[in-house]
Amino acid sequence: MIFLYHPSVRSLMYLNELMKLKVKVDLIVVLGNDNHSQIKNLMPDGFWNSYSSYFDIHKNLDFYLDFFSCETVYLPSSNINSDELYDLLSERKQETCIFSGGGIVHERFFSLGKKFIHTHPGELPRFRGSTCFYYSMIEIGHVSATTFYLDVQLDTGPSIHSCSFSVPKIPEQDWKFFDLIFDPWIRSQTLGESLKKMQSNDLVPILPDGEGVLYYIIHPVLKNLAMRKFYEKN
Amino acid sequence: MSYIFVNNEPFLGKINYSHSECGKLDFISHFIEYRKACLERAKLAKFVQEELQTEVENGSDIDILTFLRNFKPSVQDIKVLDKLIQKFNVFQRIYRTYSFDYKKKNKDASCVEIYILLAKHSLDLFESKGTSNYLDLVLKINDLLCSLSFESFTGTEHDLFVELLEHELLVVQRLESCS
Repeated sequence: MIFLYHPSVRSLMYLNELMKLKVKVDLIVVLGNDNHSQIKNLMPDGFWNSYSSYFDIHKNLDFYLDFFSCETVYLPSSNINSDELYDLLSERKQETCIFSGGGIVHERFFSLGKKFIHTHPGELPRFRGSTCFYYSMIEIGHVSATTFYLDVQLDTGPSIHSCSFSVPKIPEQDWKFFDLIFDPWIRSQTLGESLKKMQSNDLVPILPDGEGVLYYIIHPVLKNLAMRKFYEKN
Repeated sequence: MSYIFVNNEPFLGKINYSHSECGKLDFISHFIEYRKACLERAKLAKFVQEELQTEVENGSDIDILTFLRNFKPSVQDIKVLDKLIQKFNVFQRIYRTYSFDYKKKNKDASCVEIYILLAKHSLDLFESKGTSNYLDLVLKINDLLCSLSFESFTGTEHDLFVELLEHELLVVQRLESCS
């Protein structure tokens, strides 16, 4: 298995799940400059400490590289569609790649004969597109994530597994929790459950039934209305 | 903090909605305050009397103004509307005419009535279907329209716009009170 590491909280959470499940990773490709302090400095220490049960800010990429002790390739560009990544993947025999972000995978990558596993923060096919996490909070009052195999169209590939989650109440001042921690956390938990299914060999990927609704990056007013439902009352 | 989602280059530039600072409870109050001020400005604006004519249809091309003026919430019309929603979300503009496969056929993206009608039908669909992608579009189109000088609106556009802003405000206030 190849892990495509796009520097972010999400990628670190994914690696944490793979570590817990003792998944054999053959190659980790680090896309662009991994600067852990950039992630850490997004919020004060108190914020990260409050949510340490979701994410341990002290475990950086080096921690996981030590754990997996596998081949690591550093590519200068964080672009998921770079020629360097294309060339690298074309030389590798591993079939499965875990995608952890960095844009929309270009069509030519699907001709490499690889399967790209992606976890989308919404129930597919009902919630397709961007920021579905917040649209779910508004429309159904909880959130879901779906792990599926990427294909050339947006959020339409065969589904591996979906999980639903209730949304915790948080203080208003911690509203960035949803973007920074909760969104990547639900994805990582769903990825973990999906990998368990894949390991147990009882997996039959399901093609989406219906087109669902295509969403676009959410307007700030709707985002606020989604989040404020989950603020602790004073 | 005031409401900052204003288009400084309407029909040319785009408003960036990524990673917006919008989490505080008073964000909605600032939004409502801003929209109410726009509504007052719109009500007081003197508008031009000249009405826009729809364009003569050319074969399979779609004249968007004609389509939106005659829009019915049928499966077929909603499909076209969804395509226009996609266009607006990507480019933040809608042209007067598209080919059957939604390639733009002219360079005029400044027809205010098109934006107002697109938002109006979307708001009606939000009210009937409850899917928030339609309300999302209304908020984005009104951000664009509120960035304009209302003096260039026709009488029809003026009346439709005032009605649209009032409806949008009611919906947002209703959702705020539910949360």
